[in-house]
Amino acid sequence: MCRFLSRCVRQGSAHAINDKSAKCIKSRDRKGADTPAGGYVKTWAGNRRAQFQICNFKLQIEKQKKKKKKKKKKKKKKHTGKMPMLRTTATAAPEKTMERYTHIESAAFGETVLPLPMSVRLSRRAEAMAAGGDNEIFATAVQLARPTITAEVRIRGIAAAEGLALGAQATLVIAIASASGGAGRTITLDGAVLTSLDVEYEQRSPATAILKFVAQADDGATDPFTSEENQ
Amino acid sequence: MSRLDAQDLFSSGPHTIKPGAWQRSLERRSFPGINGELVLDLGLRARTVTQSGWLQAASAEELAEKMSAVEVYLDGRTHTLVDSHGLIYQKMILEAFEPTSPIRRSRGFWCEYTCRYLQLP
Repeated sequence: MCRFLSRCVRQGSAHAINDKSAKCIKSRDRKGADTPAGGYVKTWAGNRRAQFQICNFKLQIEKQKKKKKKKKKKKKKKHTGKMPMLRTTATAAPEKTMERYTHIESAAFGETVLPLPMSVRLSRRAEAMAAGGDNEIFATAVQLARPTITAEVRIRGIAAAEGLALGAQATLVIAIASASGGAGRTITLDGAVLTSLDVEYEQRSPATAILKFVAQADDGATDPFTSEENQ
Repeated sequence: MSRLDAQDLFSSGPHTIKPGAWQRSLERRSFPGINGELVLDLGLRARTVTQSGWLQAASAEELAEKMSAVEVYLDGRTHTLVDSHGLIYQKMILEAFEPTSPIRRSRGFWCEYTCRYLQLP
Protein backbone atom coordinates (compact mmCIF):
# COMPACT_ATOMS: atom_id res chain seq x y z
CA MET A 1 0.00 0.00 0.00
CA CYS A 2 1.22 3.47 0.76
CA ARG A 3 4.52 3.67 2.53
CA PHE A 4 3.78 7.18 3.76
CA LEU A 5 0.25 6.48 4.80
CA SER A 6 0.89 5.73 8.43
CA ARG A 7 3.01 8.83 8.61
CA CYS A 8 0.23 10.81 6.96
CA VAL A 9 -2.23 9.68 9.55
CA ARG A 10 0.00 10.41 12.45
CA GLN A 11 1.34 13.73 11.28
CA GLY A 12 -1.68 14.86 9.39
CA SER A 13 0.34 15.81 6.31
CA ALA A 14 -1.15 15.43 2.90
CA HIS A 15 0.33 13.56 -0.04
CA ALA A 16 -0.65 13.06 -3.60
CA ILE A 17 -1.75 9.69 -4.83
CA ASN A 18 -0.82 8.45 -8.22
CA ASP A 19 -3.93 6.69 -9.46
CA LYS A 20 -2.13 4.30 -11.79
CA SER A 21 0.33 2.84 -9.34
CA ALA A 22 -1.92 3.44 -6.32
CA LYS A 23 1.10 4.57 -4.37
CA CYS A 24 1.38 7.65 -2.30
CA ILE A 25 3.98 10.11 -3.47
CA LYS A 26 5.31 12.95 -1.41
CA SER A 27 3.82 16.15 -2.58
CA ARG A 28 7.11 17.93 -3.10
CA ASP A 29 7.28 19.46 -6.56
CA ARG A 30 4.10 17.80 -7.61
CA LYS A 31 2.09 20.86 -8.27
CA GLY A 32 -0.31 20.22 -11.12
CA ALA A 33 0.18 16.51 -10.98
CA ASP A 34 -2.40 14.05 -12.30
CA THR A 35 -5.26 13.37 -9.98
CA PRO A 36 -7.06 10.06 -9.69
CA ALA A 37 -10.07 9.67 -11.87
CA GLY A 38 -13.26 10.31 -9.98
CA GLY A 39 -11.40 11.43 -6.89
CA TYR A 40 -12.32 14.58 -5.04
CA VAL A 41 -9.31 16.79 -4.64
CA LYS A 42 -8.79 19.69 -2.34
CA THR A 43 -5.87 21.99 -2.85
CA TRP A 44 -4.36 24.52 -0.50
CA ALA A 45 -2.78 27.52 -2.02
CA GLY A 46 -0.19 29.54 -0.19
CA ASN A 47 1.91 26.50 0.75
CA ARG A 48 5.23 26.21 -1.07
CA ARG A 49 4.54 22.59 -1.80
CA ALA A 50 1.49 21.50 -3.65
CA GLN A 51 -0.76 19.48 -1.41
CA PHE A 52 -3.52 17.16 -2.41
CA GLN A 53 -5.96 15.32 -0.32
CA ILE A 54 -8.18 12.65 -1.69
CA CYS A 55 -11.47 11.66 -0.24
CA ASN A 56 -10.52 8.01 -0.60
CA PHE A 57 -7.91 8.57 2.06
CA LYS A 58 -10.37 8.21 4.89
CA LEU A 59 -11.61 4.91 3.59
CA GLN A 60 -8.09 3.63 3.15
CA ILE A 61 -7.13 4.72 6.64
CA GLU A 62 -10.13 2.97 8.13
CA LYS A 63 -9.25 -0.22 6.28
CA GLN A 64 -5.71 -0.03 7.54
CA LYS A 65 -6.86 0.48 11.09
CA LYS A 66 -9.05 -2.60 10.84
CA LYS A 67 -6.14 -4.62 9.49
CA LYS A 68 -3.91 -3.47 12.32
CA LYS A 69 -6.52 -4.46 14.87
CA LYS A 70 -6.73 -7.92 13.34
CA LYS A 71 -2.96 -8.28 13.40
CA LYS A 72 -2.83 -7.23 17.04
CA LYS A 73 -5.44 -9.82 17.91
CA LYS A 74 -3.44 -12.51 16.13
CA LYS A 75 -0.26 -11.47 17.89
CA LYS A 76 -1.97 -11.57 21.24
CA LYS A 77 -3.09 -15.11 20.56
CA LYS A 78 0.46 -16.15 19.69
CA HIS A 79 1.85 -14.60 22.84
CA THR A 80 -0.64 -16.30 25.06
CA GLY A 81 0.48 -19.63 23.59
CA LYS A 82 4.18 -19.08 23.94
CA MET A 83 4.67 -17.19 27.12
CA PRO A 84 3.69 -19.90 29.61
CA MET A 85 6.08 -22.31 27.86
CA LEU A 86 8.90 -19.82 28.14
CA ARG A 87 8.16 -19.29 31.77
CA THR A 88 8.23 -22.96 32.56
CA THR A 89 11.45 -23.69 30.65
CA ALA A 90 13.35 -20.61 31.74
CA THR A 91 15.98 -21.21 34.38
CA ALA A 92 17.92 -18.68 36.31
CA ALA A 93 21.38 -18.17 34.79
CA PRO A 94 24.16 -19.02 37.21
CA GLU A 95 26.13 -16.07 38.39
CA LYS A 96 29.61 -16.12 36.98
CA THR A 97 32.50 -14.11 38.23
CA MET A 98 35.10 -13.58 35.55
CA GLU A 99 38.35 -11.92 36.33
CA ARG A 100 39.78 -9.47 33.86
CA TYR A 101 43.52 -9.30 33.87
CA THR A 102 44.43 -5.84 32.80
CA HIS A 103 47.77 -5.03 34.37
CA ILE A 104 51.13 -6.73 33.94
CA GLU A 105 52.78 -6.15 37.27
CA SER A 106 56.17 -7.62 36.51
CA ALA A 107 58.10 -9.81 34.12
CA ALA A 108 61.37 -11.56 34.84
CA PHE A 109 63.63 -13.84 32.85
CA GLY A 110 65.60 -15.76 35.41
CA GLU A 111 67.23 -13.15 37.61
CA THR A 112 66.85 -10.42 35.00
CA VAL A 113 63.91 -8.16 35.59
CA LEU A 114 62.25 -7.08 32.37
CA PRO A 115 61.20 -3.55 33.21
CA LEU A 116 58.10 -1.76 31.98
CA PRO A 117 56.33 -4.70 30.38
CA MET A 118 53.77 -3.68 27.79
CA SER A 119 52.37 -6.97 26.59
CA VAL A 120 52.90 -10.69 26.89
CA ARG A 121 51.75 -13.24 24.37
CA LEU A 122 51.91 -16.95 25.11
CA SER A 123 51.32 -19.35 22.25
CA ARG A 124 50.98 -23.09 22.19
CA ARG A 125 51.12 -24.33 18.64
CA ALA A 126 51.42 -27.59 16.75
CA GLU A 127 51.47 -28.02 13.01
CA ALA A 128 48.54 -30.09 11.86
CA MET A 129 49.02 -32.94 9.41
CA ALA A 130 45.82 -34.11 7.81
CA ALA A 131 45.50 -37.10 5.53
CA GLY A 132 42.80 -39.02 3.78
CA GLY A 133 42.74 -42.24 1.89
CA ASP A 134 41.36 -43.46 -1.38
CA ASN A 135 37.68 -42.79 -1.89
CA GLU A 136 37.66 -40.16 0.85
CA ILE A 137 36.93 -36.55 -0.02
CA PHE A 138 37.86 -35.11 3.36
CA ALA A 139 40.70 -35.81 5.72
CA THR A 140 39.97 -38.76 7.94
CA ALA A 141 43.01 -38.45 10.17
CA VAL A 142 44.61 -35.42 11.74
CA GLN A 143 47.85 -35.71 13.60
CA LEU A 144 49.94 -33.00 15.15
CA ALA A 145 53.61 -32.34 14.92
CA ARG A 146 55.49 -31.75 18.13
CA PRO A 147 53.94 -28.73 19.86
CA THR A 148 55.99 -25.70 20.79
CA ILE A 149 55.22 -23.21 23.49
CA THR A 150 56.42 -19.73 22.72
CA ALA A 151 56.22 -16.39 24.49
CA GLU A 152 56.57 -12.89 23.18
CA VAL A 153 57.24 -10.13 25.69
CA ARG A 154 57.25 -6.46 24.77
CA ILE A 155 58.97 -4.14 27.21
CA ARG A 156 59.99 -0.52 27.31
CA GLY A 157 63.17 -1.18 29.27
CA ILE A 158 65.43 -1.72 26.29
CA ALA A 159 68.65 -1.52 28.31
CA ALA A 160 67.74 -4.66 30.24
CA ALA A 161 66.75 -6.42 27.03
CA GLU A 162 69.99 -5.56 25.30
CA GLY A 163 71.91 -7.12 28.15
CA LEU A 164 70.43 -10.55 27.38
CA ALA A 165 72.15 -13.06 25.15
CA LEU A 166 70.41 -15.12 22.52
CA GLY A 167 70.20 -18.74 23.52
CA ALA A 168 70.06 -17.93 27.21
CA GLN A 169 67.79 -20.30 29.11
CA ALA A 170 65.94 -19.44 32.28
CA THR A 171 62.47 -19.41 33.78
CA LEU A 172 60.18 -16.69 32.53
CA VAL A 173 57.83 -15.45 35.24
CA ILE A 174 55.04 -12.97 34.60
CA ALA A 175 52.80 -11.56 37.30
CA ILE A 176 49.45 -10.18 36.22
CA ALA A 177 46.99 -8.28 38.37
CA SER A 178 43.24 -8.42 37.98
CA ALA A 179 41.12 -5.37 37.32
CA SER A 180 38.91 -6.02 40.32
CA GLY A 181 41.86 -5.84 42.67
CA GLY A 182 41.81 -9.61 43.19
CA ALA A 183 44.73 -11.88 43.83
CA GLY A 184 46.02 -11.85 40.28
CA ARG A 185 47.80 -14.55 38.36
CA THR A 186 51.33 -15.84 37.93
CA ILE A 187 52.45 -17.35 34.64
CA THR A 188 55.59 -19.42 34.54
CA LEU A 189 57.41 -20.76 31.51
CA ASP A 190 60.13 -23.16 32.57
CA GLY A 191 63.16 -23.62 30.39
CA ALA A 192 62.43 -20.58 28.24
CA VAL A 193 65.14 -20.07 25.62
CA LEU A 194 65.61 -16.58 24.26
CA THR A 195 65.47 -16.97 20.49
CA SER A 196 64.88 -13.44 19.27
CA LEU A 197 65.49 -9.90 20.46
CA ASP A 198 64.22 -6.91 18.50
CA VAL A 199 64.54 -3.30 19.58
CA GLU A 200 62.23 -0.89 17.86
CA TYR A 201 62.77 2.86 17.91
CA GLU A 202 59.92 5.01 16.75
CA GLN A 203 59.66 8.70 16.07
CA ARG A 204 58.31 10.54 19.11
CA SER A 205 57.46 7.43 21.04
CA PRO A 206 59.40 5.33 23.51
CA ALA A 207 61.53 2.49 22.20
CA THR A 208 60.25 -1.05 22.53
CA ALA A 209 62.13 -4.29 22.96
CA ILE A 210 60.46 -7.46 21.68
CA LEU A 211 61.72 -10.67 23.24
CA LYS A 212 60.73 -14.07 21.91
CA PHE A 213 61.14 -17.27 23.83
CA VAL A 214 60.64 -20.94 23.06
CA ALA A 215 60.14 -23.26 25.99
CA GLN A 216 62.26 -26.37 26.33
CA ALA A 217 60.99 -29.24 28.44
CA ASP A 218 63.75 -31.04 30.27
CA ASP A 219 62.17 -34.47 30.28
CA GLY A 220 59.99 -34.08 27.20
CA ALA A 221 56.89 -34.92 29.15
CA THR A 222 56.36 -32.11 31.64
CA ASP A 223 54.50 -29.10 30.31
CA PRO A 224 56.80 -26.09 30.70
CA PHE A 225 53.85 -23.73 30.95
CA THR A 226 52.05 -23.23 34.23
CA SER A 227 49.64 -20.55 35.31
CA GLU A 228 48.01 -20.24 38.68
CA GLU A 229 45.84 -17.87 40.60
CA ASN A 230 47.63 -16.09 43.39
CA GLN A 231 46.33 -16.69 46.89
CA MET B 1 38.76 -49.69 3.79
CA SER B 2 41.12 -51.93 1.95
CA ARG B 3 41.67 -55.53 2.95
CA LEU B 4 44.42 -58.00 2.31
CA ASP B 5 43.09 -61.53 2.11
CA ALA B 6 39.94 -60.23 3.80
CA GLN B 7 42.03 -59.13 6.78
CA ASP B 8 41.47 -55.64 8.14
CA LEU B 9 45.09 -54.61 8.51
CA PHE B 10 45.07 -50.99 7.43
CA SER B 11 41.82 -49.51 8.71
CA SER B 12 43.50 -47.68 11.59
CA GLY B 13 44.69 -44.90 9.31
CA PRO B 14 44.18 -43.40 5.88
CA HIS B 15 46.04 -44.91 2.97
CA THR B 16 46.22 -44.84 -0.78
CA ILE B 17 46.96 -47.56 -3.30
CA LYS B 18 48.72 -46.69 -6.50
CA PRO B 19 48.96 -49.39 -9.13
CA GLY B 20 51.87 -49.23 -11.53
CA ALA B 21 51.81 -50.00 -15.24
CA TRP B 22 51.66 -53.47 -16.65
CA GLN B 23 54.78 -54.21 -18.62
CA ARG B 24 55.28 -56.31 -21.68
CA SER B 25 58.65 -57.92 -22.11
CA LEU B 26 60.01 -57.55 -25.60
CA GLU B 27 63.19 -58.80 -27.20
CA ARG B 28 64.43 -56.45 -29.90
CA ARG B 29 66.87 -57.51 -32.59
CA SER B 30 68.33 -55.43 -35.36
CA PHE B 31 70.56 -56.30 -38.28
CA PRO B 32 73.12 -54.18 -40.09
CA GLY B 33 72.00 -52.86 -43.45
CA ILE B 34 68.36 -53.76 -42.91
CA ASN B 35 65.72 -51.23 -42.06
CA GLY B 36 63.41 -52.07 -39.19
CA GLU B 37 63.66 -54.32 -36.14
CA LEU B 38 62.79 -57.84 -35.17
CA VAL B 39 60.69 -57.74 -32.01
CA LEU B 40 60.08 -60.90 -30.04
CA ASP B 41 57.14 -60.75 -27.65
CA LEU B 42 58.10 -62.52 -24.45
CA GLY B 43 54.81 -61.92 -22.72
CA LEU B 44 53.24 -59.82 -19.94
CA ARG B 45 55.30 -59.22 -16.83
CA ALA B 46 54.41 -58.25 -13.28
CA ARG B 47 53.62 -54.74 -12.19
CA THR B 48 54.34 -52.91 -8.97
CA VAL B 49 51.53 -51.68 -6.72
CA THR B 50 52.42 -49.23 -3.98
CA GLN B 51 50.35 -48.65 -0.89
CA SER B 52 51.20 -45.81 1.48
CA GLY B 53 49.45 -44.42 4.52
CA TRP B 54 49.39 -44.14 8.26
CA LEU B 55 49.05 -46.76 10.95
CA GLN B 56 47.58 -45.40 14.17
CA ALA B 57 47.12 -46.90 17.59
CA ALA B 58 46.46 -45.89 21.15
CA SER B 59 49.79 -47.19 22.41
CA ALA B 60 53.21 -47.99 21.01
CA GLU B 61 52.70 -51.69 21.73
CA GLU B 62 49.44 -51.75 19.83
CA LEU B 63 51.09 -50.01 16.92
CA ALA B 64 53.91 -52.56 16.90
CA GLU B 65 51.32 -55.34 16.82
CA LYS B 66 49.66 -53.78 13.79
CA MET B 67 52.99 -53.58 12.00
CA SER B 68 53.76 -57.21 12.85
CA ALA B 69 50.38 -58.25 11.49
CA VAL B 70 51.31 -56.77 8.11
CA GLU B 71 54.78 -58.32 8.14
CA VAL B 72 53.17 -61.76 8.39
CA TYR B 73 52.24 -61.35 4.74
CA LEU B 74 55.86 -61.11 3.66
CA ASP B 75 55.67 -64.81 2.89
CA GLY B 76 56.27 -64.82 -0.84
CA ARG B 77 52.81 -66.12 -1.59
CA THR B 78 50.13 -64.48 -3.64
CA HIS B 79 47.34 -62.65 -1.86
CA THR B 80 44.27 -60.70 -2.83
CA LEU B 81 44.07 -56.99 -2.08
CA VAL B 82 40.78 -55.09 -2.20
CA ASP B 83 41.13 -51.31 -2.09
CA SER B 84 38.78 -48.67 -0.69
CA HIS B 85 37.01 -48.33 -4.03
CA GLY B 86 36.29 -52.03 -4.05
CA LEU B 87 38.78 -52.78 -6.84
CA ILE B 88 40.30 -56.22 -6.56
CA TYR B 89 43.99 -56.83 -7.08
CA GLN B 90 44.72 -60.52 -7.39
CA LYS B 91 47.99 -62.44 -7.33
CA MET B 92 49.69 -59.87 -5.14
CA ILE B 93 53.00 -60.67 -3.53
CA LEU B 94 54.00 -58.38 -0.67
CA GLU B 95 57.60 -57.52 -1.47
CA ALA B 96 58.32 -54.95 1.21
CA PHE B 97 56.68 -53.30 4.19
CA GLU B 98 58.58 -50.22 5.27
CA PRO B 99 57.73 -47.75 8.05
CA THR B 100 58.81 -44.49 6.46
CA SER B 101 58.74 -42.40 9.62
CA PRO B 102 59.66 -42.97 13.23
CA ILE B 103 56.84 -43.78 15.59
CA ARG B 104 55.37 -40.43 16.47
CA ARG B 105 53.29 -39.43 19.42
CA SER B 106 50.63 -36.76 19.26
CA ARG B 107 47.04 -37.89 19.23
CA GLY B 108 47.97 -41.43 20.09
CA PHE B 109 50.84 -43.19 18.34
CA TRP B 110 51.25 -43.30 14.61
CA CYS B 111 53.72 -43.83 11.81
CA GLU B 112 53.80 -43.61 8.06
CA TYR B 113 54.39 -46.74 6.01
CA THR B 114 54.77 -47.98 2.47
CA CYS B 115 53.89 -51.43 1.21
CA ARG B 116 55.26 -52.55 -2.13
CA TYR B 117 53.44 -55.37 -3.90
CA LEU B 118 54.25 -57.24 -7.05
CA GLN B 119 51.16 -58.20 -8.99
CA LEU B 120 51.46 -61.13 -11.33
CA PRO B 121 49.51 -61.08 -14.58
